Amino acid sequence: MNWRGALFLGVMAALAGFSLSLVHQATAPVLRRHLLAAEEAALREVLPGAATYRYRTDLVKGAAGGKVRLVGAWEGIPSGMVYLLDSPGYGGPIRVMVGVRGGRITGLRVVDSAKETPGLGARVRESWFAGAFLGKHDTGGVGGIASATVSSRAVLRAAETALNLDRRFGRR
Amino acid sequence: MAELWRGLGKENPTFRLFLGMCPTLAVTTAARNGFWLGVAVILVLSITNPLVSLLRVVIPSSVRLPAFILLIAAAVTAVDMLFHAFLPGMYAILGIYLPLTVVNCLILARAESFASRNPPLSAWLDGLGMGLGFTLALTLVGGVREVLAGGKLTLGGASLLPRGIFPPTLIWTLPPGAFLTLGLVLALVNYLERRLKG
Repeated sequence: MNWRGALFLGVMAALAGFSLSLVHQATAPVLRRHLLAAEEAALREVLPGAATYRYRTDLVKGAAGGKVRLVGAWEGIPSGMVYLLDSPGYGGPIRVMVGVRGGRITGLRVVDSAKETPGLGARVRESWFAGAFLGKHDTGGVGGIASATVSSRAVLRAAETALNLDRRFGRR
Repeated sequence: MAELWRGLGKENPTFRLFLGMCPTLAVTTAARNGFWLGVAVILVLSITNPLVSLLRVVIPSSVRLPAFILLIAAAVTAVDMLFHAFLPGMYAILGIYLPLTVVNCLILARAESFASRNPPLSAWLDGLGMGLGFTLALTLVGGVREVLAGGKLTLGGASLLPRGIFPPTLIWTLPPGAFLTLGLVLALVNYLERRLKG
């Protein structure tokens, strides 16, 4: 056995772990601030006009497991709901945030489409596509994107799911 | 100072040593992506190279490579955390290629072939030079692909090219475009080098 080598590596690993815990401690608060600010900004974008947003753990836990998964839900105070959904796209789940008030979509944002093909499926992130959902109470009038059928259908399905969820849980 | 310039010129990691080809091909869909991955590599190399050099007399040679990888992994994890906290947008774009810097052969190659045989200052300069050369190459490849694919070039939020000079062509952002661009840029670099030497 090479005890000297093992001992050396052990000591080095301990030192590396200690240094990393220091870096983690230094960066964690900054990271948390960023994430909270980003979440708040996204909520404001899809559901404008609410004073605060309350996270609804009960909805997320109770959601039935269909093809589209509910991964987050916020209640806008005084009115409106925001749903965060994972919808299966071409390369993996596409994460979509949808704001609904009075049965109509107030805003839609594709939060993560990193697994979609650049230049094709990833075009669901383009703002004109999200704009097509504004004010809609069903997704019948929204067309897909040419050569991005699967990815744009995934976003459509997410919007549909959000509207369905809102019919069940949304406050009038 | 020769250690510093070598990485930018005649021993450029991308165009001359052909190290770190995986991120070179994968993240260079835009100039700024290549640039920021390059910055990550500069940071990692300027931590690992001097440390490897300082530890070169105490590291038992039988566990030399695991010890280097341990150092590299720790440095990359630290840089990964810093990017996540301070450059969240870039962190999302670079994705898996930031942590994969652990196995970027450029970093292990500089530790083994240079830093472990030279004093800390020249090891640091070598890491800086290699990192800068890598950044330059990735920004160049990324810039060419960005222009050819989307007909635009942005760095630091500013648009560097009027729109409509190149018609957007999708293939340059897709994986084959990476290979084609690297080949073309390499041909250009070789051509220029030959012309300069006369």
